[in-house]
Amino acid sequence: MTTALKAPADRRDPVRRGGTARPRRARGALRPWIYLLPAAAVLLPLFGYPIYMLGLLSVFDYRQAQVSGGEPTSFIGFENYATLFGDEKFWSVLAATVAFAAVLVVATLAVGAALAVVLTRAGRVPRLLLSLAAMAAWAAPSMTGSTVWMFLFDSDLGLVNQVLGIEGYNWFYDQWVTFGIVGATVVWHSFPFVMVTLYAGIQAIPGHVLEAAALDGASAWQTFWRVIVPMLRPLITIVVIQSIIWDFKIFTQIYVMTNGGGIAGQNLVLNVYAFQTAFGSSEYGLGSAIGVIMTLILLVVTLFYIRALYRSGEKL
Amino acid sequence: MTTTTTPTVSRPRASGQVSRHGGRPRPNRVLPKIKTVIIAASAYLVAFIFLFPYLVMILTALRPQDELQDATYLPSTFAWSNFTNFWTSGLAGNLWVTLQVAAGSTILVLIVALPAAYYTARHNFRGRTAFLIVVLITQMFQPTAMLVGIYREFYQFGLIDTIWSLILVNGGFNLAFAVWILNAYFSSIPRELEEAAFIDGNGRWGALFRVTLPLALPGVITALIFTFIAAWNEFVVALTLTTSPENQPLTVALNSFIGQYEVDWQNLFAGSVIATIPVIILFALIERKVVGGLTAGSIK
Repeated sequence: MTTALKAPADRRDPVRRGGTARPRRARGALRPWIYLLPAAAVLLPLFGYPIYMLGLLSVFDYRQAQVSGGEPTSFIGFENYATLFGDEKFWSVLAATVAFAAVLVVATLAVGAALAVVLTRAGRVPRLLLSLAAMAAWAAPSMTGSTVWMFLFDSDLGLVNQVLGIEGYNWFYDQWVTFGIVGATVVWHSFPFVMVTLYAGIQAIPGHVLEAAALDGASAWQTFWRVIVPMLRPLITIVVIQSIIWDFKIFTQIYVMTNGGGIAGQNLVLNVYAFQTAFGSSEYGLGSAIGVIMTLILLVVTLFYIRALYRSGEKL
Repeated sequence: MTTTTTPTVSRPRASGQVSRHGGRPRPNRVLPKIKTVIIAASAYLVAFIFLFPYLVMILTALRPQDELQDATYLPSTFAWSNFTNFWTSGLAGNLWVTLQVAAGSTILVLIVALPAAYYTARHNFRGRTAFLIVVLITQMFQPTAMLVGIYREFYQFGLIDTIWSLILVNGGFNLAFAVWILNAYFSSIPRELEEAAFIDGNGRWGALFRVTLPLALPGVITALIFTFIAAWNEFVVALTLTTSPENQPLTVALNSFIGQYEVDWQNLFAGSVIATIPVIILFALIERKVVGGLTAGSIK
């Protein structure tokens, strides 16, 4: 046990070490896993098994009747997927998910970046206040955040209708208006991460670089696009990909604010759709198939993320 | 990358200053004063807009039950009854469930993440990179897409509708953040410090517990609070895995105030305030350090 600290040789790949001490070599190769075992013991059953189960169920006809044992579970190959791909509803939900996420990413980045710049220029008090507001939005459970925004836009009691002086307008009736309000809630929850990250990034840019830009007569707009953005490009890439992943995963806001997907499911996104299919309609096999598609999409985005990390010079 | 943004972006320091929160704004002589005013004004405005929902939440929670329809902005009297209702109704039990789940997941993450983060920071071994990447991938995944699989698994083990299932899922899905941020902290502590303590006769474990862990404490606290908040806020897994009202955490229990046609706003918001305030306070303690963990690695 003591060798780890004493011998710098331990840092080297144990397999490549000289062949003098055979038993030590075996121990050296095994030792990491003593430390990593607890983590593996948690990750494997919580990721490996459910993903396996998800894939398995997605190729079976698995509904309420099969759960209760009334009918035997039967293998149906890719029929669930075929059902999905042949269903117009699936495609419209997929399109809505992608479009919604895309708009959210752009909006979150715009708001976050603008406020990061404001932060660098604002005085002490406004900066503290803005940080506080960001923190409050960031930490809040998305469940409670959603309910407040719902209340603000409530047709009878909402402040928005009161202030605008319109009576009884239902903001959750039209598909796009609803998406807009849910989107605002999501941005409210997610801009702080972008703002704080970019603010930290801007702070790390050497002061003389920004001063030089200012002396050269660059406007704030030019400084942002020509100096800050290029210098922070790697950081921005990571923030963008993180945002894509987050906005793609939206569940709570849609589920809570539109009462499970809106009128006739017009505000469904893939996540809520999978949930409703599996647990609402007890179509577990079909719901699993949607889950598999969702997981695959996230995996692709994640690979881009890892590639971006490598590009940014990160030594993992 | 490593040269530009790296040094200050909340790269964890073993000692001394960790963030530049209190840093003064750069003097900007070029901009005229009017711009400063506009910037300050917009900062105030945006801060107000973003804090506004909380104001509404608290004011509504304090509004008497019969005043919701009134077109006044402020309640005539503060009705604390909505808050006392919280404690007398079953919600106190749901708060207890939330606390247990959050605390349980946090302890689980601590036990599991510390050794992994420590070892991967201190040693290079075959499979290290693979391990870290797998952990990173799990951070990108989400329980929602895998919900049917997770449900099926806990169903098989008879853990549906127990807090254990929630502790396990929340712990598992927050492990990545903890491993990465702890890894960064441990890497930032010079191994010579630990070796010196070892040579001074502290023993291997003494060196670890008296030198390394105290130095990594900010990272440990950040990981713990972050996990606690995430587990506290979690919604969809609890919605799926719990069936009886008394086993639901607060977020799910509050959702039952939202009916198809009517919403019990006052009680909903009284509960929301109670569900929200603790996490905001906790988050205030770690906000600056979280960024480093979420942009895992990019800031190293």
